Amino acid sequence: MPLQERLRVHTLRTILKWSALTGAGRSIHCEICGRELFKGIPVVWRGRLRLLGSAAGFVRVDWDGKNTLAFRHVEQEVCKAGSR
Amino acid sequence: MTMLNVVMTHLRAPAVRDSLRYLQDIAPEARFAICHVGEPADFSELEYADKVLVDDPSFRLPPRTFQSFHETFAALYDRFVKADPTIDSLYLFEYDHMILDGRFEERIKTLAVETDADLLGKTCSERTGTNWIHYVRFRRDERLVAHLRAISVHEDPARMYGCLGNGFWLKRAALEAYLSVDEHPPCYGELYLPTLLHHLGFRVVDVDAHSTLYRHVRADGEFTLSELVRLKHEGHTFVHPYKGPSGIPALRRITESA
Repeated sequence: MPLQERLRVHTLRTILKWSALTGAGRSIHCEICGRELFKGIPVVWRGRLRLLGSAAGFVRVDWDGKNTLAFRHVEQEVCKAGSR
Repeated sequence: MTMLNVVMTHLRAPAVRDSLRYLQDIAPEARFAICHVGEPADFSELEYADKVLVDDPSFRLPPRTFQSFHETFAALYDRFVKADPTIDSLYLFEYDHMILDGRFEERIKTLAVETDADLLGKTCSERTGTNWIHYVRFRRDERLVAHLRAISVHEDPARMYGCLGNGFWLKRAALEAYLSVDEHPPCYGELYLPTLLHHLGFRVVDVDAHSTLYRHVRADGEFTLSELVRLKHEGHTFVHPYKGPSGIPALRRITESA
């Protein structure tokens, strides 16, 4: 695919993803400080749960219940600033 | 006991000289060494006794892939540490990790004692179960996991750690333990260093969990010159990243006028 076409597709995908996350994305908050980590859209695809938008945050995740995942900041400094 | 402060740089000789002069002005008691990873000609031109040239093939790989500290640590140990039992720790920082306050040594040492750290770094913490790109890359790496299983003193060899590599402090014993490992699997230094040390039984500590020393240290997003100057006036200790050529002259002017 020519470079110009690849750029066009990339830009279009970025805009679509941004629009979807802004419109339909739900806020995921840090379980420690309560601040928003990212806006995410869960998608089950090919046996995996993909969380679109999560790459925008630097996050730790673990199971908080049989069907619940809990998220938190990796960076202590950011997390502490939120809980002050 | 001595903390050896090592500036890791690829810059031309005049820029390295300026940087050294500034560091020696603000911290005359501190011992600085240069670890040059750039052109041999620039290294030769640099008239400074405490210098070493490191040519690590991993530095020529695409950024943030498999860069390691193996060669750097080995060179620093052979050149400075091995024959000098007074060196009890190493502070290794990149040229764009700006030191604004000459009391940095005392502050790092105090933090290390208070936290009983063997390795101190920015966001130096466990990365298991995170979306950090290097944890995601290496969490199922067979060679790395087998290596950690073979050397680990802990129950779970799959635990992985990370830290920013721009400026970190480590004890002599931790450096020697790292170098005592015969073979290392291909890995990225910012994951491998804290992970290996953890599994060898050392304590890795996140500066941010215990102090504000690294408040203005971040992975990306370069500081501007005006921000650098403002942070110096406000009495902060470190800033990263700042790569501009005007930074050191500006910091020197402030130091000289103070």
